[in-house]
Amino acid sequence: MLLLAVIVVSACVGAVSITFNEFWAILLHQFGVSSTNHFDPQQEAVLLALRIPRVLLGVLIGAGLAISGASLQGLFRNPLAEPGLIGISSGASLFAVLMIVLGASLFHNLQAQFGYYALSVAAFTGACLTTFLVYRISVHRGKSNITALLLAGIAINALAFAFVGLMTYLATDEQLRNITFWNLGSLGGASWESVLTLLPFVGIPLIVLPFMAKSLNAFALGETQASHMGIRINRVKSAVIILSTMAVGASVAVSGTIGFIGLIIPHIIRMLFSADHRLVIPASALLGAAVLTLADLLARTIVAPAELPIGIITALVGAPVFIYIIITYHRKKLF
Amino acid sequence: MIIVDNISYRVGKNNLLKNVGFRIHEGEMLVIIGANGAGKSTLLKLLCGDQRPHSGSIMINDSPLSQLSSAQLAAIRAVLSQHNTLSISFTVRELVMMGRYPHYELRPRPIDYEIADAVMAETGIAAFAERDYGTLSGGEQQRVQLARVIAQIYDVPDSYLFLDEPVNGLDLLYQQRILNTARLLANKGHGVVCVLHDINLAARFADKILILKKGEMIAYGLPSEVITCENIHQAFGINVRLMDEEHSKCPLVIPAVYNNN
Repeated sequence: MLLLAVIVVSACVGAVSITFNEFWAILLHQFGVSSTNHFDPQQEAVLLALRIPRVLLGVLIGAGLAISGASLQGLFRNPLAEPGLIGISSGASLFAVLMIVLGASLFHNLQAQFGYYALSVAAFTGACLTTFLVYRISVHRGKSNITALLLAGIAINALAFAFVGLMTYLATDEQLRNITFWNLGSLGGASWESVLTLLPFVGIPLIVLPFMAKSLNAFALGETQASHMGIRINRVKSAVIILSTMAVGASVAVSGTIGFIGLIIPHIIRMLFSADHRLVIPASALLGAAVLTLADLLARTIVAPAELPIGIITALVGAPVFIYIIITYHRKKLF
Repeated sequence: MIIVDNISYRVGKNNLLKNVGFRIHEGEMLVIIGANGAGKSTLLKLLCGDQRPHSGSIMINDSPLSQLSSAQLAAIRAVLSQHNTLSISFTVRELVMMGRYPHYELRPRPIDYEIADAVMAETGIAAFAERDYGTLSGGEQQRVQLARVIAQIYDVPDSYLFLDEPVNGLDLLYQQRILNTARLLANKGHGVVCVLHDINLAARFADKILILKKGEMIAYGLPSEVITCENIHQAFGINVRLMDEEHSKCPLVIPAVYNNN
């Protein structure tokens, strides 16, 4: 319900304002239900070509980031786990920055082939490569060790950021601006094309990850304990990591890195309702979608006609909320 | 019945277990005792299927343990490990319901809820079913974990419960409560295997006792046969006196005054 309301409000508010009635009129008209048109053609164009794709992109990315965060926190048995921890974001950043700085000279073919999407393709490749590397390092005798996975993530993140730093050092002023903007995230590139490209990458994890909920509950007891309960722990680990990389890698590729959604949304659900993953995983997806859509609404309206990078909004709101969560956990003596 | 036939297990060149063989019948409680590092926990890990023996075999209800999948195993045996930490706080009821995981796919059946309620009542934790696990005392937490593993095999005939030092760090009352619950489970017809440190507790609750020393079995049988001054001296390297106690079928073991010379 909250999600639906946020979607409608976000679609209506903006440089060209559209009233609630006009919103429905345009939609109904589009689907051929009603022939009346109490609206401007300009409003229709803005809504269909810009607003709706952008809102849908926010919904997909918010849901993808939050559901991955919820699943990874369960897998790592760690409330601080988030997609960035296993190298997804840093790998995407590194490859995106490489593309921005060295793009013209080194990746000429790639740019020629994918054009505007070259940056997204590079970021997604980077996300998958680093995550795969981190995962490989943690595997010993066919079993992935979670502590090793986290430590490998920290190491690879540091390495990736070192290269990002190096690239920043080499970058021109124009490129620096691009890098900064990309690192802070934005849904500005939304189009029906980007929504449709992202759909399978986020859609599949959204459908499959809820089925991991029971296993992740058992993981809370410990890996050995989960295996004693008949959970195939190695299959669960690979599935969660692959699906999260898909969702987050593709999201980061389209929008840049957007922080805090994957970290705090699952905590909010746990605090409000229950820690049962059968609830936390789907509910995180819904709340994540609503929150990111709302954050994007703020990002594009508060300094209109300019736009703030959305990562600034999520961090500004997310960090205090996270601190509040830590304090309440302390009070309840949960850790 | 579980038949352990002449199993050995080593890590590198160290033989952690050497030619160990015994049987666990339904309705029987077997307690494994021995000094630290004697191989008790290793033996339990082999019985659970966590590790495979390098030689010898383990048969559980006529199937080789190594050929059962983890899901098949989970349906006939439950394990209470030594260290149980919970990374996310669940309520007691949610935790006990997790014991039923191997028995349903997505939605718990009515029988699963009934079993969880019955186990909580039997283990005396029904009163705090809705409380957060993290807010309970150590003894209460251990009872909740025990309830969870019992729920896993509650309705399965010919099933087994493995307990690794279940009363470590618990006070006298909780030691009795935990082991009483395990004893009642054996009386109902399940096989129970339990690693313990306290010889007197072992003798009081066990049907059979197995003494390990450096990976080898030095005694296996009824408590009254196995608990002797010689066996204890051999296993733990200390001298003990035995004292008859009128309410018990087995004498009490009392360490002799320790003499450094």
